[in-house]
Amino acid sequence: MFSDNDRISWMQMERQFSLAYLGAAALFLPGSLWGRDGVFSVLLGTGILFVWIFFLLRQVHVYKCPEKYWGKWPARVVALICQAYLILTGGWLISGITRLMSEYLIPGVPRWVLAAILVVTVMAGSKDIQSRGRFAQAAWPVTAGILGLLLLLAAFQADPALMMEENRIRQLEIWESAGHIAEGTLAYVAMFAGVALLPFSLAQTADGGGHRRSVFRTVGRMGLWTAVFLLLELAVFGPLGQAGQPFPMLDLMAGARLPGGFLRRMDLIFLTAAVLSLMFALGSIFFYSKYIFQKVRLPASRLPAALLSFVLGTAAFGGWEIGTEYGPLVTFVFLPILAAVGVCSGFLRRRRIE
Amino acid sequence: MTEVYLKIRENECWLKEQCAGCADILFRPMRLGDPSTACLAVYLEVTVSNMMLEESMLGRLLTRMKEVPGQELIPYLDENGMGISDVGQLETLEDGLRALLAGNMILLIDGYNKILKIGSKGYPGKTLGLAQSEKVLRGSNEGFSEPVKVNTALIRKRIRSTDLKVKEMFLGARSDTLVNVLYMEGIAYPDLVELACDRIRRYEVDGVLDSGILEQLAEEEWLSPFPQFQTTERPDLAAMELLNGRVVILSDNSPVALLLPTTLNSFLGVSEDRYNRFEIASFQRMLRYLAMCMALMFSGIYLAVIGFHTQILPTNLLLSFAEARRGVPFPSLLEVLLMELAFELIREASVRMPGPLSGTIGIVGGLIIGDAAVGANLVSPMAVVVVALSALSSFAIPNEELSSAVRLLKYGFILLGGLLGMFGIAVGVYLFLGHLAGLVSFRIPYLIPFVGKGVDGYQTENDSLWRGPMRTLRLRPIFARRGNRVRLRARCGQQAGQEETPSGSPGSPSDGDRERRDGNVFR
Repeated sequence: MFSDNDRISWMQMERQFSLAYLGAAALFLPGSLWGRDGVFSVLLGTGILFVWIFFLLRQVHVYKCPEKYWGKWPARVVALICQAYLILTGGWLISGITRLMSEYLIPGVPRWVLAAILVVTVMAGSKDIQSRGRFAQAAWPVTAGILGLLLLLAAFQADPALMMEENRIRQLEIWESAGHIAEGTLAYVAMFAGVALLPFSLAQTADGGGHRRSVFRTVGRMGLWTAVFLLLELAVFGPLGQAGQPFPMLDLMAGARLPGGFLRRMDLIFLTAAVLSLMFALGSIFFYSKYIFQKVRLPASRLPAALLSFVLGTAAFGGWEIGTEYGPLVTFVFLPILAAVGVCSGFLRRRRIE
Repeated sequence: MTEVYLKIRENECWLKEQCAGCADILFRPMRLGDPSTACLAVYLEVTVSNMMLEESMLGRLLTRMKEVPGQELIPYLDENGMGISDVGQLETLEDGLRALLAGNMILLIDGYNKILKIGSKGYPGKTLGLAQSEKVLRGSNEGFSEPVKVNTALIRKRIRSTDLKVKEMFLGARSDTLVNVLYMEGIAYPDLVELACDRIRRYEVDGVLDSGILEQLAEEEWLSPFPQFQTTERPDLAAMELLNGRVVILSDNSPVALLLPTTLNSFLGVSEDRYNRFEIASFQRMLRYLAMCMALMFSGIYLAVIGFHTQILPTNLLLSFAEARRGVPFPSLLEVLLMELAFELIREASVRMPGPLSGTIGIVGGLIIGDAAVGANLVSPMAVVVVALSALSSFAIPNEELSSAVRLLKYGFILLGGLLGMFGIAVGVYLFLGHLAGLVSFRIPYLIPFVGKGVDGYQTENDSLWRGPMRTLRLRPIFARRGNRVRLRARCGQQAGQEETPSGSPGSPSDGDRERRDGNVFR
């Protein structure tokens, strides 16, 4: 019956993807995404992601049986690269969440304790693909509903004049602005580099044609959410205020008011909903770390990825800290590699067909 | 198995050996026919009344048999015995013994190698009562009784169709309890019925004294606090769910029926939802969902807010919170935990106390102790309000098993909220939702219909948080067979909402054809 086939519906896949990215899009946007250029970057980045996804969707078969197309050892090397990317992202998420927690929610608790609680919780949560799918499908409307409602409340603080202020304070040449947009676009695409692993999850999505549309819809939706976040921040803080804050969405939400003034601060509710989304993202990372190794018949468990992410997320190695190094590493190392893997898969698939 | 002997003496010896020491089993030898033949009636003392033996149709048959010529006695029984209601012939002594222990009288006749099982009034049991734990304002209040046959009849009374099938099985190595599995042929998945039967037969248990034993043995996720069978005392609800494609299990001596598969949504619905107008029913259902969330998290969120995030509260409210807590010696977490435990004590005491006294316990516990505790500065009035609201919410959950699970998990949220603030609440929600997402009941995900959209074979039921108008509830829930999901259709020439009105009764094969054409093929 329904729970027997170890597959998820396209709707569950769509919501997994949305839920995993929503929290990161709300809180951990790259610093280069600000101002009107940031919004353009998001729109451009979404377009690039559409193209990337278009090619990835043609390669689902390759990711279904990677050893068949790539060969045993190359497939394992690719799996190791994906694993490294996942662990790095896991560490970055743990670092980001614990920083948020210790600064905004429970100051005084050591970050490693928070990270340990986080990892244990995520490990104890949904373990198989179907329960993850159901989790996302049930949690997405609530999480997105809360965030959407709070955004609506926060919108009352907006001052359109602040959006125009950028013209006054920044007399940029066109090429400077283009450079800023390009930088932001690259950062945005790097943030979504996880889509390179999308074909792995599509391999276990029920057929029926709906999943292709839903992938595009999800990336488009995330682009829209991110653009709305940026626009609101811009309209409330102005470009300088937006660029100068570590978590502008939280400051934005801190100013939101409920009619009647029953609650004084909305940022905590926003943060709680966003943390739920981030926890789901972390769970997805641990899950796919196991799943990808299973695909290439390597010993698979979520535990190594969880432990390594914990170490990366909590430790600082001689001044190297993942919070600051993650962006450049993904942008200049993993993004090109993952893109190259996608291109190679395309060639291998074509050669196989021929 | 031991065949019935032709000589009544051997049969009597066998039975007496089996029943040695059972003073309540009576052996009544008699001689019937002319010339007379030795007969033996065996019955349980209370289950067969003297009135029955003397004045009933059976009694008259026995009286008449005294006058029948001896050589014609057996042909006479063959011809007439079966005409009496609930008389059966049994081939083996073990079957005879089982029939005897089930509360029937058995009759053995010398030279006749069969046992006559004669139905009698059976064991004493409670008469039909009200469904005490599932009260409704509108609709029948009839509740299940204890004998399984009566309970089956109560369902049959509501579904007078031969599509309602009843599978009988005996479970319990020593109790030999009769268990009936009921389902609607053509609507329930045959696999589901088989699976249900397999599950309840999976363990050999000493005694099945209540359906609760079956429930726990047949559960998949036996460590989960959440019930994976729905229980009901209401025959109308059981009948309704049978029509939805679910399977009902009735156990002898239990006034509680088990419904399967089950989902969270089915626990938060009541039979009244179908009888009320859709606006009211939907509102009440949303209220119950809200009540579940409040029962689960309200106390935890209170602790998170007053312990970690006081900035969320307006100044006036914050001051009144602080004022209320002035002089209370315990930390908030301990205060709320103590109050919650006190509430559980009051609840447990009022359930165990005899009826007239339970109200007194409520008054003593709730008013006097609560008031005294606040007066003595042991707890703050705000904590009392929070715990009372949380308790009230738990009572609004219609199903006691779900309510108990929620009340138990509430302590987890209290600890998480009290120790980790809103981060703890997020952790709790993640674990709670993750657990529910992983639960399945007889292969149906627990969170259906909230996770149904997009799943192959799922059709919107319009009956979850929102209960659509009756005219739009055209389809049976996901439990029903895919080819037979239509349950409501306007008669020819009439309109049902916006739907086309093909001829044929609901559930006819054409529904299946139509659904298959629409691409909703289950497998």
